[in-house]
Amino acid sequence: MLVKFGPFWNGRIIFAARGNQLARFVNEGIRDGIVFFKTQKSERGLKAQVSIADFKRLRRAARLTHTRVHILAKYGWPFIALRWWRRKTLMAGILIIGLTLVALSQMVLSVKVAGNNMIPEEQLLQSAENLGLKIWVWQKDVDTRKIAKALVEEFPDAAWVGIDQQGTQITINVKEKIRPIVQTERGNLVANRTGILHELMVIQGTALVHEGETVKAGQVLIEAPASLDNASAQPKPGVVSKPNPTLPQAIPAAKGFARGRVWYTAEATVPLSEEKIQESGQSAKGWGIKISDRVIMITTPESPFEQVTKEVKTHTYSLGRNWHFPVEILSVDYKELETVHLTRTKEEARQVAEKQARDEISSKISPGAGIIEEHVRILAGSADTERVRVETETYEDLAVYPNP
Amino acid sequence: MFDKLSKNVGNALDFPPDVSGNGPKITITGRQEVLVENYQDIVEFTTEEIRLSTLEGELCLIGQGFVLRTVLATELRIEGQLTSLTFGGGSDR
Repeated sequence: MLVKFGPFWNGRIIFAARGNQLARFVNEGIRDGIVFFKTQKSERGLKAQVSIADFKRLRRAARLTHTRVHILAKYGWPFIALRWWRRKTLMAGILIIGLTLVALSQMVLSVKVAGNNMIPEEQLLQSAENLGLKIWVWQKDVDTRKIAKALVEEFPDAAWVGIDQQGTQITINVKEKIRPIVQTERGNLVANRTGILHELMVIQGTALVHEGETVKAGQVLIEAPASLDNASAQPKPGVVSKPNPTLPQAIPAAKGFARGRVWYTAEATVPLSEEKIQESGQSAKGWGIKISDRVIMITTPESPFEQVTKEVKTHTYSLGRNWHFPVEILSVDYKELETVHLTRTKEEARQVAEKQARDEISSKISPGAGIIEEHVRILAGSADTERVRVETETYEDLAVYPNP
Repeated sequence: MFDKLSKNVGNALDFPPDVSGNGPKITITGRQEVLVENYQDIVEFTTEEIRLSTLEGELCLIGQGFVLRTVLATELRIEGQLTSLTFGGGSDR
């Protein structure tokens, strides 16, 4: 590379010489101190390269030997520079464009805001501009850390502000605070299920429903006395608020209880015959080692069963907190699975369906609720299934505090 | 006189001939490159034949595609396919 750079930097002239005394021409040139490069002879004469300074000195040798010399090509930086020098305006234009691009790349050309929902973008941009972050300013004059800190202080809804600079583009990334939702129902007693209200007792607050009324889940049953959160409620005269342990003491809460009847239904369909995959009780164990992602099983490399569920445990050994032994021990527990064909009588299928439906209802019923009545209805299904619906009526507490 | 003296002194001191003499030093690398130092003139130069005059006589290089890579006053670097190299004429010293 450097060997090639020398001729390019100094410049070379490639010339052709014609005459009858070409060897003498070269000898005379050498005597004058001229260095010839890549000298080649062809039918048309001699072709060689000399440096720019040496070319002028060739004149004497050419005259002595009656040799005609003419230039074939000019190679190197001096000729390029001369060509550029002749086109000064073009070069000046290129230089100006280059300098302009360099200058523009040092400036801020675009400011964007990302991640804001509540804080208006215009306000953020205006504040950033007041702090010195705007377009057409030098990037070195923008102290992003200081501006980000100032923006966080200025906008209370902003939890974090980060300024990301990518070339000439600056992005203000905002993470907004997640404010707790103000509960308008705070302190009220509301119905946790849909049902018919049978008993209502108000200890504190105002009853908004009456006995015998159907209430929906979420409906306010007893409204809390007037407070900062619930200014519309009117406390009953003569009632003294007692502090509720589930709420801050400053907020008076509604007190009382509401009991009523609630209905639950669940349906289950059980086929008379079905294929079921279950564990057969057979099992096998194997162990191996694990190096990086590669697993080498020492015993029981393949599962001995056709259908199997596999439980793999890895034992890692570590020294201290950070260094882990690269080889881990694996233990694999194979449990055989088998497909069982179950055939049930109609009675058996009905019992299974009934149990499934009952289990579903039990999971929904509030703890402590008393079951008043229960109906099991056999529904019309297809010939090979049993369909059962269980309807349960309970008597339970309905009033709860929303999100206590 | 001086040449003869320097040659005798060189022989006595066991100097290599390229140090004590003025004859050409020819370095051939494979068949592709020949470096001739201490030559006097280029007598003939074509792509097939190069003849150089030296103190030891006329050096004749025969081959194909000869290019004089660098031509300096005391050094000549030749590239091409060398077939033979012979000396002719000159004084046998």
